[in-house]
Amino acid sequence: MHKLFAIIKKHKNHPKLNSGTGQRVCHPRFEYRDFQPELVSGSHLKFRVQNKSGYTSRFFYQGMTGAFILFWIIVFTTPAISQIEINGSIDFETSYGGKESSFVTNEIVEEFRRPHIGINQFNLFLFAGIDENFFFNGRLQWDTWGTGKLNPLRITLAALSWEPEDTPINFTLGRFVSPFGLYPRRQLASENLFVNAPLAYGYFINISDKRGYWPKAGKEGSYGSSDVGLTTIYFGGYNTGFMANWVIVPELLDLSLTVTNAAPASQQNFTNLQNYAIVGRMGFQPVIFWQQGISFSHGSFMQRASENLLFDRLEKFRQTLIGTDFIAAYAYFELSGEFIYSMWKVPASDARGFQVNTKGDLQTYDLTNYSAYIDLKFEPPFLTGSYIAARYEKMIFNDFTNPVGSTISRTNPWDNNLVRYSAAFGYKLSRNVLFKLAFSEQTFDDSALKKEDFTFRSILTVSM
Amino acid sequence: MKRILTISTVLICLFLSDPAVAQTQTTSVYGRIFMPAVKKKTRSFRGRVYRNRLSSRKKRQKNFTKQRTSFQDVIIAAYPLSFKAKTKPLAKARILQKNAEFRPHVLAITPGTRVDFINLDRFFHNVFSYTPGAKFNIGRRRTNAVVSRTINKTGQIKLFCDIHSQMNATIVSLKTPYFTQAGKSGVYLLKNLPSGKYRIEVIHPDFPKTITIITVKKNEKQEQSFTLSK
Repeated sequence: MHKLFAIIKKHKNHPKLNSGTGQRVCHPRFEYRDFQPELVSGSHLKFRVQNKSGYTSRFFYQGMTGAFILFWIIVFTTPAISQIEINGSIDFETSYGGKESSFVTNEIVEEFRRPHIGINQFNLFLFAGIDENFFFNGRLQWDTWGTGKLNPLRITLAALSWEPEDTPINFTLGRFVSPFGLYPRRQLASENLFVNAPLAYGYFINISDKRGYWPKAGKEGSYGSSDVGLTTIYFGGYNTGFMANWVIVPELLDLSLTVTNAAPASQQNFTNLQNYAIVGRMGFQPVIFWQQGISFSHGSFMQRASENLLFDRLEKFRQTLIGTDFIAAYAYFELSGEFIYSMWKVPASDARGFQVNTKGDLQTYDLTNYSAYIDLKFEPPFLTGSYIAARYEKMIFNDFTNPVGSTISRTNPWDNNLVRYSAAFGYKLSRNVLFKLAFSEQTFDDSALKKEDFTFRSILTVSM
Repeated sequence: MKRILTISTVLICLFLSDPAVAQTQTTSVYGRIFMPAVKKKTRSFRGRVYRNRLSSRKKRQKNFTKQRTSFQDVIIAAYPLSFKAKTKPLAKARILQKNAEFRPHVLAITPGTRVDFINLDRFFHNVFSYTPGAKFNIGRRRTNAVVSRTINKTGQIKLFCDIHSQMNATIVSLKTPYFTQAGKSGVYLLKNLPSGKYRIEVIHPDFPKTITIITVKKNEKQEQSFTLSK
């Protein structure tokens, strides 16, 4: 025993600790502060950078070469950053859709409905700890949403958060994942059980952010090049603004409140009107196997465009959302779902233009719709890494009353009710490689509306 | 009576002929581990941004990661080369999940050991492994639930939690009864070694294995330090 103490004493002053050879030896007291020379290990490259304060920093870089662009932007713009972690994911897709496929109804672009292999998404994620309390999160996204072809590279997430260690409240500023509902937190291919988004997030309805209620929305033109309407909640699942998250009782109750530049329906990361919205979610976990969330939002979503230049005060048209989401899970089973009720105060437009009253002001339409989905997931214990899942979802549009003098000829309800059934199988080939196969079929309540718009999609997602 | 005495004598002789028993209990190898700093991942991008927001950083202040040192993840194993040693499954081995961390981070066992996984958090964890030969998934388990899996494979088995992507641990399954884990400061002690020739393996999940051959003699206390590097 005395010898052991002698060894400890001897090595406390080990010459290698201060040898200056670069191979500094880790002593427990120095463990979190001591730095090592550049190392290459698998897909990890570690960089050393001296910042302004003279403090040596470590940077972790994984993934593709293109990340260097974002990496160096962060290095030069935030010199006090002490650690950056970059990782990425790539999703390869094989898809096949019915002959009446359309991005706005089943997420498959008509041009690409025949069985084909393509890239669905490239992502680069960045997590930077600026100091003990400040963090930066970013996502650089390159996807084929809407067009079937790779869209321009864009930053979809860029948020600075302040998370002091000794308080239960943290604040985030920038573009962040919307606290509303459940799906925004499951939007990545590695987290989403299926390939398609739920109807509330992926199905475009007869409301446009340029025209308001517009019965022709999505009937002609294509996403990205013409006005095809909006989804009830933006499928990207991001908000721009300010968020406060308060963990009231750890692992039991939390509250997220945000002030954003548009209601969750908005698909833009900007607003050219005086728009604002509040979005909130209260999450609680009454028992270990049950998590429940109650969400709400209220705000403007219209955008100034050539179609509505003649009218002012478009900010007064708003979307109000009330939703609840849950996860109930045990052992190899998980049941989850969402219910979203949406209320719209919108102008209306048809082929003859906007509906105006006798004073020449835009008429206001009160529209409501709701959607719900429920997912069941089972992980067969005999096939580690696999799961099977089924989803049932429904979207219902309620009747509305035309304002006096309205000439909109559209009959009630204001869009077509539909039901979608989905099934999926997933298998993790390794911890970072997931293969998913999903099928969906949807039918309209109106039996006269028969569309061949099933989807058969598979995704291979590789996370780095 | 004679028969009983004869059998007892034979059994005692056989027992004493076992090299592990025959040799003195004071033979030991000790030393210190040197290694570069290891980054400890306590949070991950997806965990922070896309997952549950019910936990704050406040609770994690007293977490296990801050208390433990990377030296405690080092396993020192001695494989006898001059005699054969019987390896039996350990009677008790367990991994706890507390404050969204596995405890211990590295667990040394022998093949055939039944490892208990116990969730001590108020929220779900699962434990899964994709290591070939030791693939399993215990599913989501409630607080204090004990789920066991028998590990028959030798080598390193990587464990993860599907709900908390930053959580990971390693089971090191060793086909030798002679192994130990380094202490907080990196000092280790391999005691009760029978005299003979050994292959000493120093194992850390983040570093390549370091191997050396040593010979220990009866009543000897041998010092052997190791430096791990990538």
